[in-house]
Parts: sequence; structure tokens; C-alpha cells
Amino acid sequence: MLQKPDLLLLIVALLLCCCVQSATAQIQRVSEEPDYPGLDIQMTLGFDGRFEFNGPLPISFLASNQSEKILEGDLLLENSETGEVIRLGELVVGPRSVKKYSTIRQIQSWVTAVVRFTDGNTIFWERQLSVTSEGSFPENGSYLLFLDDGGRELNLKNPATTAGEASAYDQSGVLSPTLLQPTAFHAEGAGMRPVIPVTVRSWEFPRHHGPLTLAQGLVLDVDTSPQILDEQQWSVLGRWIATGGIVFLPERNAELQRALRERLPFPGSQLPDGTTSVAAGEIRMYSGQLFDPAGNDTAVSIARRLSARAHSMLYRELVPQGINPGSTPHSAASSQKIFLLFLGYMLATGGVLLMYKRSRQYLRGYLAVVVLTASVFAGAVGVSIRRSEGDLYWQSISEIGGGGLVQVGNLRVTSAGGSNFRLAATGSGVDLQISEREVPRRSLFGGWVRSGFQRISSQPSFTLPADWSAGFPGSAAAIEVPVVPWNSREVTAHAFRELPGDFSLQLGFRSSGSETPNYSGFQKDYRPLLKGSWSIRTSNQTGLALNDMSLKIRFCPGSFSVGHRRVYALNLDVEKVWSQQEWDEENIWSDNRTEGLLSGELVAWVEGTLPQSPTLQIDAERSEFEQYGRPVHWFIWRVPPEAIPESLRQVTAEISRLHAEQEQ
Amino acid sequence: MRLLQNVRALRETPGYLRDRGFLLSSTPIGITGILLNAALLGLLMALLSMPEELEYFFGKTKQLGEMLGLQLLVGVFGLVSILTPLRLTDVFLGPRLAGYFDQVVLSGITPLRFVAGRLLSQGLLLSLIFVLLVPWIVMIVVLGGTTWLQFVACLMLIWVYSFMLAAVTLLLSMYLNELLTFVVVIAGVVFMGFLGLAPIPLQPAVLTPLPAVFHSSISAILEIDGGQTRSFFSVWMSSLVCMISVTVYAIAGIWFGPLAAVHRETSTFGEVVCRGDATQKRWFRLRFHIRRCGEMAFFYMNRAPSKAPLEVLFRWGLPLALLLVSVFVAGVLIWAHFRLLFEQLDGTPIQRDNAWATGTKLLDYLIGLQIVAGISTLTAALVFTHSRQTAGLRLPLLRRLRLSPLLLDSLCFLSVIFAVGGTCGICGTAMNDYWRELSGSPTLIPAEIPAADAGSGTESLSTIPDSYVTRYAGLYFDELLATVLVLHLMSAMTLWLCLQLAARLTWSWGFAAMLTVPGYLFIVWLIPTATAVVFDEFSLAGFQQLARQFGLVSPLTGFLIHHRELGGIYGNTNPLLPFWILHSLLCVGSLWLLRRRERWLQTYSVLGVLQAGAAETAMSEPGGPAMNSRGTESVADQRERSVAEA
Repeated sequence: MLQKPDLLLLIVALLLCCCVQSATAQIQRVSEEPDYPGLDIQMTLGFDGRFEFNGPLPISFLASNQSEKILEGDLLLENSETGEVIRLGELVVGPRSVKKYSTIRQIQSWVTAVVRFTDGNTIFWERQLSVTSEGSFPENGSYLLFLDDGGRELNLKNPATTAGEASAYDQSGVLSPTLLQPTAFHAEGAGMRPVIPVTVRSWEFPRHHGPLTLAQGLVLDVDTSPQILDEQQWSVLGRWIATGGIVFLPERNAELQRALRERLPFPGSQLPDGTTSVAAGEIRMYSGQLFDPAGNDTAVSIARRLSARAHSMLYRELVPQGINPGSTPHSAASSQKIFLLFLGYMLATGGVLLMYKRSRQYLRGYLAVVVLTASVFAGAVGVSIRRSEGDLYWQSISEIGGGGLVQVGNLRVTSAGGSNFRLAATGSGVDLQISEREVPRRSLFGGWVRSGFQRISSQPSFTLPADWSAGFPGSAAAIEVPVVPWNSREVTAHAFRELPGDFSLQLGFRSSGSETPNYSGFQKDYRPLLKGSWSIRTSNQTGLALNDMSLKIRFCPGSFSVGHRRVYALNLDVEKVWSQQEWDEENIWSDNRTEGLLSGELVAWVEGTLPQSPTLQIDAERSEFEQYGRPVHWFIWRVPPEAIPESLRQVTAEISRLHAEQEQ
Repeated sequence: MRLLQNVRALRETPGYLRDRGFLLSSTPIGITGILLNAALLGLLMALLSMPEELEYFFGKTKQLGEMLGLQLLVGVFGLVSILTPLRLTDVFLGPRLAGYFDQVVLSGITPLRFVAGRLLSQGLLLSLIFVLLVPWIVMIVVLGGTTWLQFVACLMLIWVYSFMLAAVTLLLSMYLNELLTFVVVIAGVVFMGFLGLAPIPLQPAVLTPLPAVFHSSISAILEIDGGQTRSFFSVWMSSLVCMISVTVYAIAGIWFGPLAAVHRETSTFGEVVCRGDATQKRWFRLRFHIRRCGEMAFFYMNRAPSKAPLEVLFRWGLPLALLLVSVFVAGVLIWAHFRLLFEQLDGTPIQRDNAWATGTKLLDYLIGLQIVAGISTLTAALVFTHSRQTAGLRLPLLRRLRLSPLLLDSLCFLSVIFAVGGTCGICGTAMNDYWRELSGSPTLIPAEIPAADAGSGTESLSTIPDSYVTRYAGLYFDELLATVLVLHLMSAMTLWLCLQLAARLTWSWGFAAMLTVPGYLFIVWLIPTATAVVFDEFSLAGFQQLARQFGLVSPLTGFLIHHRELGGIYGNTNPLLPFWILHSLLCVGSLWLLRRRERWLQTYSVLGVLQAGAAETAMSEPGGPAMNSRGTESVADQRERSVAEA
């Protein structure tokens, strides 16, 4: 029979054993790629594994649960090097069901990661993955997305593909493996970009148009059903077209056309060749079959069309230059209030030093008065700061075309110390996203140093909550901008507007004759060949007041060394006749609009300012930030290739030929 | 009740009264106000100029009220850290410079009572600072965003921290001069502050309030990194307990005072007279560090003897207990980690083809044990060494047992040596037995497995290159453990003996430690190994051989040889004869010299020290010389006796 002390000892021993067991049980065993029986998850980063470091990264999942159990847990992404864990969101997959899940994240500096689906105790699914893309989206190439759930890939091979090495150099002059891959399309002729086909499945299609701004074209096959995308994804596609994308639809599939047109931001304008122009983008029809056993002519013609198109300029104006708003009034005022108050307090308490002959009672009294007075003022200043609004400065750029415009705003909000985080805007189809592009950091030697390669041809990186289903933005949007006191954040805004008419331009050029090229150093300067007379006439049916318009023409004769391209620039005020106008030579880096100009490429656009924002407005009532300064609203209108005078094309083609001969 | 009376009595001490009069006058109020607001405004400027960096540091967005609250706490922490040592380092300097320290000693005031007033007045300084902070606190309240409970709790921690800092400063000022005290205190604050800000989940010793102040930011960073976090209360309580413990220890240290006796050289208060000084020039006879020790020894004769038996427990018992517990806990943690790692393999059959992959992990644990052995023996060597000031002392352990500091040091150090050897040995043996049971192999890597099979390890285990297989083939872990432990302990014993000898030659323990420890590590550990490795490339055979032999005197070379890192120079085994010869000579030589030095000190330096029994008899006889707990007379009684004898 156990005695009482023995029983106590036994109980203590058992309790200790329980602790040991529970400690062991809490160890979460991470075994090698465990999969819950019946669970299969496919995951993609970007578009078929391709993504841009500085752009918004779509992460998509397709979970199939063939078990009888409801699987509920969190999707976690863990940085293998730092251990940082990001919770992508919650996933619930019912028995015998399939669930799609996608989100957009900003993980710029990650290299390898582990993604897992877990409920905290059990890991249902885990995979290791490399977060380094095969290659970024090179400026010299164009991506053609092929939306298909059948796993097919476009064949864009053409005879020029094998000779495409010449155009496969990326911006820095390095031979880009991305542009050299065998499925890439290389067109003959100057200024033609390689086209890389990428197959995208419907569950990989992002739920915001931001990631799509990295691509230039999208094609749907003739037998694609409109149900391949849900309503939100069709709206995303429509918005992407307005920001500069081209969608190629089959002529024979009216349902697809209807599904897309119903979700455009505005109807756009119909061109004589059947193309629908929508702001900066287009909807083009194609006949024929993408997968014709007889040949791939249809696919090649689509690729050729895309190859000739210059990349969007919509995001270039704002991002590289950033915003220089000057001093922020509210935040400066709040900091000055605090400083002045406590500087005065410091002087008042320091004034006690002078009272060394006074009695202790006098000192106590003086100190009490100083402290009380300072406290009252501190309370008043605190209330003032708490109720103050932050500062907001913004500027925008709108691209006009196709019966409307798309406006992209770059907003900089600065906290004035109060509890001000909410930012609201109105506009047709308005959307606000906090930019998570890496901000310039201070260097040890003073000055600002930009870190990382700054992509400027797409929307800046941002993080989109996966449950962004609180209604697709209509006419108003509000977000909470987390910002520490006196710090700033950048927000990118989009909005759209239908216009009653279009803007058009008639451009005439007469070459001055057979000038011969000069020598600039060891290289030939071909600008004398470009001398000539210009006539410019514009027609504005948009209903907008377009000010300070100037026509800008840029031509790149070719590369003169690895990483260095020379660009000839011409700026002309419109509504004038110009004769014998001299071209300037610009360094490729000084004109950011033409950073992606290829050898032999000629682009022209009209640039100017708008007296007021065409559609995007800051909702002053709901925003906790107050505008200051005068926002600048730019507009651009790209001169379509058919509006470029043939005489100018001939001259530039000749220059390209001469340059190529010289390089050989 | 009695405690309250004692506290009230402390408020009547001269130190407290003087500080109260001083702190509540115009100059300190004005200077404190200027410094406090300047510090806070300076932090505010940092806030304004580095908002992105602050957001990165905080790990998340914070409101202005919360940031100002943090700024206020950091500013007060910084100000207290600067003002406290500045204010208190003059506790002995003032009376000594003014020339009335001898009167303080003769007054009979106990050292603790003398400094306690200054310690208590620290509360006055904090009160003044908190009053001056009222407008800032009002603004923080109005701005909102602060967690008030945590804010007030952090203020309380800063209060306790200020007392801890004051106590430590006062304690150090008894051993070091004023400038050195200030530098050491500030350096310690900076080091502990950085340690406290490190985003590590477990901070066992938090001696500053910073881990609690920045708890939310540190937790945010840990959460981003997927680490474990502690609750605020847990961190706060750790800080509070640690700081209170250090404060109590420092106060006890002040009460016990420096372990020093009055010697012939310091028997004249305010002067140091050594043998042969009559022929020395005056500036050769300036020995301020010795003079300070002597004056402190006189001052501490006023200490009440009633708690004297605790002195041995405080000076030797407590450090010994802490060291033994630390060694034991370290051994347990290493063993627990080892078991945890290998239990994860439970269920995975340990095949012979991947046995070596996990076998080499035992070497990592061996290095951990070596680190434990090294740190604990080095700490023990430093702690259980006392300078020549303690020569002649006999400390009561039991009623009739009085021991010399040297004997106590020896006993404690040997206890640590045995504990380290035993703990590391048991831990290592247990690991070896577990490994043998798990793998079925007596060696880390079975000798018969060819190198070509090294690549067939499973993906879950680390990929071991072929060189590992050839290097560690046939290595017995238990033999390796025993060899390196013996090297460690022999080296530690040698260092301790050299340190004892150096301490007996100087009046300053710090000076002896600064000379001996780096000298031993550099001259005996590093230089020989570096010589052997660097000059191994020399083609001159004689020189190469000489360098190799010279390298063998170093324990580091022995470790590297037995870890098979110097196989190209020495092969896989070596008897390390030069090491044993050198260290044996050093031990024997140190012991002999130590003995001679002790005799010399007894003859020429130590004043007439009574034996334990004679001291008690003398104390019990009426009219006999009054003795304090250390068996020596107080100054006043010495003078009376000399007058009576004359």
C-alpha cells in the first residue's frame, strides 16, 4: 500500500513525465515536403514563374482536396535566409472541392523561400521555392500572354528567330537569355522587339491589373470560353488594356468579345481596321487559328504586331523623377510647434540657474509655475497636432486615346504626427495602391542613394490583400496608409474617363536634302540627315483644355557601345511651322521616356499639361491628408505609326542602314 | 517597523542631508532641466531626420504619442545613466581632496551608513527629473497611442535602474579611482544596453530597462523573423528581478567592503611608506593607488562585526554557487539540445551509409562543452584571486575556523575545476553512449566505410564532403573528450597559479589580471600556434621543426590536433610533450614563488596578525585590545594601545 509521501512523489513524477511528453509533442516536425493525403496544391509565382523584382508579384494557388475532411489553415511564405514569415492569407478547402486563391506581394529582396499550408499544428502542404526569376522582364522584349487552361504553348518560331541574337541584348548590353529562348519571336527590321510567349492559366491570372502592366499583349484562342475568367478578372483585363495592353481576340468568338467589352472602363473608339482603341491600349481581332497544323502564321502575325509596338510610357514620367514637393506645411508646423514649446520650456527651466540667490520656496514656486504653464501649452499643442491633417502632394499623367483617357497619379502623403492614415479619392474606376518600391536610402556619405534596379515601365510594386473583395472599385476608394510621424509614403492611383472625342495630329516633314553625316569623335553624327521642315496641325475633340503642347520625336540610330545608345531628340511646339530644325543629341539616361528605345526605333508623342485633373480627385472630406501646392497634371498622346510621315521613315531607315554598315 | 526606522534614520545621514540641500537649489535644477530637455529635443530631431530608419527599426508603424513616449523613456534612461555616475564618483574623492577623510574615518561612521545617504538621495534626483517631465507626459497623454500600463511600468523600471546604477557606482568607487569608475560604469551601461536591444527571444540577464522599453519593437522584429516572443510582463519582471538582485548585491558589497588589511606600508593613514623609501625621491614615492587601498582598509575597520561570518559566504560562497549552477545548467542545456536534435531522427533508420553525417555533429557539442569549460574556468580564475592586500587576513568560516583568502581561493577554484571536469565528462559520456546506441558504431565515422560512399547520405541530413570521412575516420568521441578536457583543466590551473602569483606581487587585482590573462593567452596560446602554422611553409627543415615544437606548447595547438585540423603538420595524434613540460614547470614554479612571496609578505608587510584563537580570547578579556571580525585592531584602538604602551 503506498504511503502518503510515496504517493506524492509518484504524482510529482507523473506530472514531470507529462511535461516531458508535452514538450516533445510541441516540437513541430518539418518533414520533407509533407502532403496531406488527398490534397494537391499547384502554386505559381508571376506568370509561369516569370516575374519582375521591382514589380508587383502575383502568387497564385490552385488547391484540390479529394479527402473527406475540410482543410482550413493559413498560407505562409517564409524567407529561408532571414526567417521572415508572411501570412499570405487564410485558405479553406472543402471536401472533394477545388479552390483558387491568389494575392499580390512585394518580396523584392528574397532569394529562396518556403511556402506552406498549415493550421498551426499540422503542415498540410509545404514546398521550397526559388524566388529568383529566370530573368526579369527586359526592356528590349515584349511579353505575349496566352490565356489557356489546357497547358498549350504558343509557337512563334519564324526564320528570323535563329538570327535573333542581334536583338537579344538587354538594356545593359548583356546578352539576355530570356530573349534568346527558342520560343521567342524575332522580327526582321530595325526597332522590332523580341516577343516572348508565356502561357497563363486562369487561376494564375491576377486580381489586379498591376502585375499585368509588365506584359504587353494577351491572346485568347478561338475556343476559349468566357467562363475562363470571373467577373473581376475580366474587369482587370479591361483596365489593363486602358493602361496600354493589347488583347488579341478571335473574330469568330463573339462571346469573348462581348465579355471583354462589357467590362472595359469605357467603350473606346473603333478604328477602320476593326481595332478598338481604348485609351493607351487596343483590342485587335485576328482571323485564322493559333494552333493551325499547317503553320503558325496567325501566331507569328500577332507577334509581329506586338513586336513593332513601343512600350508604355505611362509610368515613366513620375517614377524616376519622384515627387519633389518641397516643404510639407502641416508636418513642418507640427514639428515646429513641439520644438518651440520645449525649447521655451528648456530656457525657462534653465533660467533657474540665474536665481542662485533666491530662497528655496521661491525656487519651488517658480518651478511649479513653469511646469504648470508648460503643461497647459503642451496639452494645447498636443490637441492641435492630434487633430491636424497630414500633407498630400500629387501629380498625375494621363494618356489620351481611344475615346477616353487613363490617369495615373503619384501621391505622396506625409504624416504630421496626428492619427492621420486614411486617404480617399474619387474618380471613374478609381484604385489606390501603396507603392512598396524600395525608397532611396541615405548613404553614409550623405545624399540619397537609390538601391536596386528601378523598373519604370510598370506599376510600382505593391501588396494586395487577397481578400480584396469589398466591391471592385467604382467611383471612390479609400485606403489606410501606415506611416510613422513625419515620414512619407507614395501611393499610386488609377482612374479612367470617357471622352466625347479624340485628339489627332497631322504631321508633315520635308527633308532638306542630301546632307552628309558629321563626325562626333570617332562616331558619325547623322543628325544633318534629319534636317528638314515640319508642319504640325492638331485637332482636339476631347473636351479637355490641353496646354503647353509640344511634339516630341525620338530616334535611336543604334548602339555605339555596350550599354550606351545615342538618341536624337526633337521638341517642337505644336500649331507652328518649323523649318530647318536641328535635332539634339541626348544621352539615353536623361530622357526617361525613351529609356527602352531600341536601335532604329522612332517614337513620337505629344506632351502637355492639363489645367486640372481630368477625373481623379482627392476626397477631402474622407481623407486625413490635406493637399498643398499646385499639382501638375501631364498628358501624353502617342503619335500612331501611321501618322509618322513616310519621308521621315525613309530618312531614319537610311540612317539605320548606314549605321549598321559602319558597325560592321 | 524597524526597517522603516532605519530608512528614516538614513535620511538623517550627512550624505542625504547635503544632497537634499544641493539638489533642491538653483544650479542642479537648472542644469537638470537643460540637460533633460536638450536630450529629449535631440532625440526628437533624430526622429525627424530619420523617419524611414525608425520605421525600419520599429518594425511597424507607430503613432506620435507612442514614439514620444519611447523617446522620453530613452532620454530619461540616458540622462540617468550619465548623471548618476557623475554625481556619485566623488563620494570618496570629495573628502579625500578636501582633506577630511581621516576625520570621517575617526568618527566611527560605518561605510554603509556613510554612502547610504548618497544612495537614498538618488530618489531625489529621479523625483526632480519626473517633475520636469510633466509637460512631456501631458503631451504624450493628449497625443494618445501609448499603452499607459507599460509606460508607467517602464518608468518604475527606470527608477529601480537608477538605484541599481547608484549602488554599483558606489561599489566600484571603493575599488577603482573616480575616472575609472565612471568609464567602467558607462561602458557597462552601453554594453548592457546594446545587449538589451538585441532582438533575441530569451534575454536571461536584463540589467537595463531597455528590453522592456522597446518590447513592442523587438517583438515586432521577432514576429517578422518568425521567432518566439515573450510577454511584456515576463520581460518587465526579468528586468525588475535582475536589477533588484544586482542592487542588493552591490549594497552587500558596499557593506562588506574591499577585502584588505592594513599593512606596514599603509599603516600610516594618508601615506604609503615602503622599505627603502628614505633614499627614494619624492615623486617615486607617490603611490596613489596604494594609498587609496590603505585608506579604505582603515575606513572598513569601522564596520560592525556582527555580520562578519557571512563575509566568506558572500565573497566565496555566492560566486562559487553561481559558477557551479551555471556550469551545471550549461551542461544540461547542451545535453537537452543534443537529445532534441537526435530525437528528430527518431524513426529514420540510421543506416551505415549515412551514419557519419550525424556523427560529426557530436563535434559541435564538444566545442560547446569546451566553451563552457573555458569560460567557467577563466571566470573562476579571475574571481578566486585576490591581491596582496589580503595577505595576513584570517576570515571566520565557523566558530573556531578561520581561513586565509589564499586557502579559500584554492578550495573554490579546485571545486570549480572538479565541477567542470565532472559535468563536461558526464555530459560528453552520455552523448557518446547515446550515439553508440543509435548508430551501433563506437566511432564517429566507421573506419571501414570508403570515401566514395559519402555521397549517399539522405537529403534530410547534411551533405558531408569526402574530406570529412577521411578526416574523422576512426575517431573515438570519448577519447577526444577526455583529452581536450584534460588540456583545458591543466591550462586553467596554470593560468590561475600565474594569476595568484601576479596578484601577490601587486596591490591591484585588476592590474594583475590585465597583465596575466592576456599575456598568457597571447604568449602561450596564440603565438606558438600561429608560429607553427605560418612557418610550416618554410623549406628550411630545421626552422620548420623548431616552429612545430614551439607550437606544441600551446593548448590551442593541442585542441586543433585532436580535432584533426592540423593533420598536415602534426598528424592525428601527438603526446604534446612540450605542452606538459611547460605547464608543469609553470605550475611548480608558480607554487614555489607563491610560497616564497607569502613568507616575505608575512615577514615584511603584514602587521602583527593574531591567530584565530588569540583574537577571540583577546576580544573576550576585558581591557584587551578590541578586535574586529578580521582579527585586526581598529585604528583608534591601535593608537590608544600604542599610547598606553608608551
